[in-house]
Amino acid sequence: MVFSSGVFLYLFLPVFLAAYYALPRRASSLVIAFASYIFYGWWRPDFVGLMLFSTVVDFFCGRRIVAAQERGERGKTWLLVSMAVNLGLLGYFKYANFGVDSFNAIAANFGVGPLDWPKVVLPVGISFYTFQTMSYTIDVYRREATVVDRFSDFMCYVALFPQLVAGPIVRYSTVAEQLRHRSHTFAKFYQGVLCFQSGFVRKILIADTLGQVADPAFATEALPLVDAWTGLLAYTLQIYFDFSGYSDMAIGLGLMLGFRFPVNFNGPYRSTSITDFWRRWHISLSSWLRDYLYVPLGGNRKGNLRTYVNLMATMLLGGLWHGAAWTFVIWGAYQGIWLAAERAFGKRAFWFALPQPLQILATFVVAMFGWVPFRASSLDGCLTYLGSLFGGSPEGPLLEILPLHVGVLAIGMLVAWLPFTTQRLASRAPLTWVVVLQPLFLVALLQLQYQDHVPFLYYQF
Amino acid sequence: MRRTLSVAISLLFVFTTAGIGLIDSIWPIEPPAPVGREKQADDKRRAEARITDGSAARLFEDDLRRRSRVHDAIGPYYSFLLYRYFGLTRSSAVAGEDGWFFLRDRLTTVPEAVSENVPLTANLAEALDRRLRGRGIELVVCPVPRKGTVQAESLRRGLAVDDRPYRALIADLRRRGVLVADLLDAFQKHEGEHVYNKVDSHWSDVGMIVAAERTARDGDMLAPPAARRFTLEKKFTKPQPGDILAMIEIDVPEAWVKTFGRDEEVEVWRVEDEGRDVGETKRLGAEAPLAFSGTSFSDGRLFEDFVGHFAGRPVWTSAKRAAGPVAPLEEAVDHVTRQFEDLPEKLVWEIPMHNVFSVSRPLRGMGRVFSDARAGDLAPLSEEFPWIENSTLIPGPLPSKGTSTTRTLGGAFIFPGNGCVSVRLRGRVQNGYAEVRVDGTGRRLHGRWEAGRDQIVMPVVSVDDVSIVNLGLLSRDKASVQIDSIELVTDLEFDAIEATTPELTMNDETWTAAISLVEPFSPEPRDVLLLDLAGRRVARDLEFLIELSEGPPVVVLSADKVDPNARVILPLDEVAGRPILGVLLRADGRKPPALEVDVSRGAPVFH
Repeated sequence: MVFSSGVFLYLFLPVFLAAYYALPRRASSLVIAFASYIFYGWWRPDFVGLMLFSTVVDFFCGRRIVAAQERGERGKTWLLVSMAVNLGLLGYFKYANFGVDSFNAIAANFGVGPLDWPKVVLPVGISFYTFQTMSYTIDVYRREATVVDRFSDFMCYVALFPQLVAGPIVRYSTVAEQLRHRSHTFAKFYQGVLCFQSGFVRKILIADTLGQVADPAFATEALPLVDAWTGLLAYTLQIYFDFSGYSDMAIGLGLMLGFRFPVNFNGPYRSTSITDFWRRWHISLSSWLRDYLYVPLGGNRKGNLRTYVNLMATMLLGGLWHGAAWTFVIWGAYQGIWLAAERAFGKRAFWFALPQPLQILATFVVAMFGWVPFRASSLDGCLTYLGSLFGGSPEGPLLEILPLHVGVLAIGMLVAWLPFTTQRLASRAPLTWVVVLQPLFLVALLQLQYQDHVPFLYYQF
Repeated sequence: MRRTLSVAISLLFVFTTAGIGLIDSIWPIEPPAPVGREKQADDKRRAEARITDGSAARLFEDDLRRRSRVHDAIGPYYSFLLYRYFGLTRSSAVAGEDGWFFLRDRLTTVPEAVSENVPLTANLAEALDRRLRGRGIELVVCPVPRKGTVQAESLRRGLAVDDRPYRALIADLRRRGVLVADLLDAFQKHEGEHVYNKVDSHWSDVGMIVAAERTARDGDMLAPPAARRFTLEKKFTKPQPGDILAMIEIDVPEAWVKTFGRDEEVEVWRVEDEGRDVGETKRLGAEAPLAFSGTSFSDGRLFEDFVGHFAGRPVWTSAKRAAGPVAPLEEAVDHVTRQFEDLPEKLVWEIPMHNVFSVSRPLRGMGRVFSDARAGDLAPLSEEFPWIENSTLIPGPLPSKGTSTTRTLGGAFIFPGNGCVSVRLRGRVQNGYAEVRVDGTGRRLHGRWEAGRDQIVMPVVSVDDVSIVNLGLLSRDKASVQIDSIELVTDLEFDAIEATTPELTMNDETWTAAISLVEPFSPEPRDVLLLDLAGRRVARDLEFLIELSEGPPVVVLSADKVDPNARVILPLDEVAGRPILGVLLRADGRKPPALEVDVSRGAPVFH
């Protein structure tokens, strides 16, 4: 189920909220878990079993780690079991097709026939909930989180529907206390409504409208100069408003249930460098990668060269986390190179001598180029699109760009560069924003019925 | 104040979401029932919906939306305002300049449109024409150009419809001698007139008259003015509601339309027969010398009447809307060849070109058309037809389960996939029916051998030249099938002609074999040359070229693999009307040690 669907908004959410607030508080974890399984299994019920399996394994491993630690051991075996199961599931479901396809492509060069391999269907959200459950066992192993007592709480944590399929990646330590004791206040609920409305408007009115330009642009790839740049700008804003819109809705729904999830986007297009960008974009993923990958690899503690290698390795794996394709590897490498370069040159770089608005603009353009491999359907498509950006395809015009699209692009740029996050606005609830938001939300509801189903971009990851 | 506002907003949120859900669940609307192919697709979707793969959930979501009372009440106004102020429509349509609307999927052109869909359509049309001519009926193909090609100047930025596939199809069919109406050319000669409706996906009455006149002219049936059937005159103009507006849910009260000033007045024409309105042609009807297979461009409209008028002939029609161009054709072919006492002189086949150029694998279901069309006399190609030895499909009783198959030896018999060669099965089918599958390297035709018929003839139709024929037969509905014979047959008759012994030469890595005709001749469309090769080595990637008295040789056929003793039919459509001096065989690799070729000239004989 997706938030931006009639079945979620008009059936699931009202019924769930009514049940959640009507039933006794002690059953809240079970109610959430049950509802989350319906939410998750709506399109593929069989994958609920996979999530339950992962839940049981990590719940059990967490307890065994603590038991081992109480005996004076480290409990590493159970951590490895948890890692093996989680990474095994992720590897099989997310990367098996990619591995076989890559093998076949190489084998074909040596005259070897392709492996006969039935395509594996990717379970929605597996990358997110796997990272969450892994963070649990790692934190327990590191003694940075207490082991969960009740299985229902752990089910609730893993399956928590607001952030189940596209984040933010909520670490167990962040919500451990909230799972047992959280307050349900009207102020929180109201804040949640505003966050949800804001995210919904971002997704439906901005992201989906820009998708009408970005999708055909990347489907065509060979475009005239103006169309190529417009398409890329549209995608740059589409992915931001789509994903941050989802995060806002997730955070809003969490607030309606009494949870406070961490902020996932903090004005990333206002960044003054790529390093800054990664502190503001998909914060829950970048901090996860930092804490569970970059730091254990040695971080910046083992000399400059090793730091660059660690940065590259982290970003390459971050790229692969998004999808099993060489285009994501290139995207990760691109980010890694920029991060390493910024670290190498430090504050001495000419970059930091530029006025801040220019730094922001330059970082924005660098981020835009990164979205080309991220969005392209193939390596060839990526190169074709890059060629189009530099005037490689003189035909045209090929994109249907209406004045509305230009207007939404302008509004999107303005909103992306404004120094406010949705969470900050929702907590302060300035009157103008609240009043403007209501008709926009109603228009977005109308637009939802009007337009074709447009899933969130991050569902595919 | 803030407290009140926060309570109001929270309540608004809860009541909006819950309220819409409640109203739509308790009081849903009954959406318009799908018809034709949409109904078939809808029925199939419902039958195949499963909980396990999420298809039932998606169906539920779509139904929820389609049955939404709230959306039904508010949606049209929202759609209208979006269009009026932002030029935006539902994704199924595109708003053009000056109030023109286009269906989006008809603006796209699939990449294979020219390379595959055009030759396939031309081959299917030629095969059908050959089959019908065998019964004395001429096919007139009437390709309806896409609205976007005719009204190209009304498309907005970034939207252009490729008209090259249309022009290629017309040229290809003409070269083959198939009668075809070039409606794009006719419409472009009436530039400035609304031959299509602004808010409808179909042509206007004006367009229909232009199209009908051109169909009659290009179909070699234009009657002199005195012999035309009716009186045509403009009757009145009226507002056009248009199917696109309903499709994209801009369906608001008249007052709104007037307020925002977007409307279209269309001309309505009268077809008058001795003072009485002819009205819209009814489907089927009495036997007539002109048969018509139409789609929504004619069903419920006057197109057939206009064609009949310009042809000076009464019309029988199987036109059917929302069914695509194949289902009405199947009905027409089946009906006229079985039911008519006097077969019609011509059959007009209306094909809206979005069904060919905007889709992959177009014109599905044509196999049924051929299995329904009784064939005329056809000659067996050879007593020793080259089916492989270990076939499961052999004369005798057909197993009741599984598909029995056979195929020709690869490269032993090579011919164009235009229906000049067919597969004929003779025998008996009792109860049920037998499904026949014929595959000429690329496009499989599914035919239906009905009980009570003693033979079925299926043409071998393919995008590329055919070097292997696959044949499958499957008993359906517990049919008992007895096969007496399986053979390749043709409508061609051959006469041996004198030619020189091939002169083999090597040039770099390429060898050529030049065969000169003792008496050069100029072929007609559909004429062929038959080559009986006698060599010693299999040839790979062999091209067959025709040497002309003027200009470079023209490649008329190519094959990946050619058996040393292959029979090859070379089509001469591309060089029709030009004197032929000889034939060149050309391939890379080693020169064959020896090669002899017997040459025959062939032409179709329609009995």
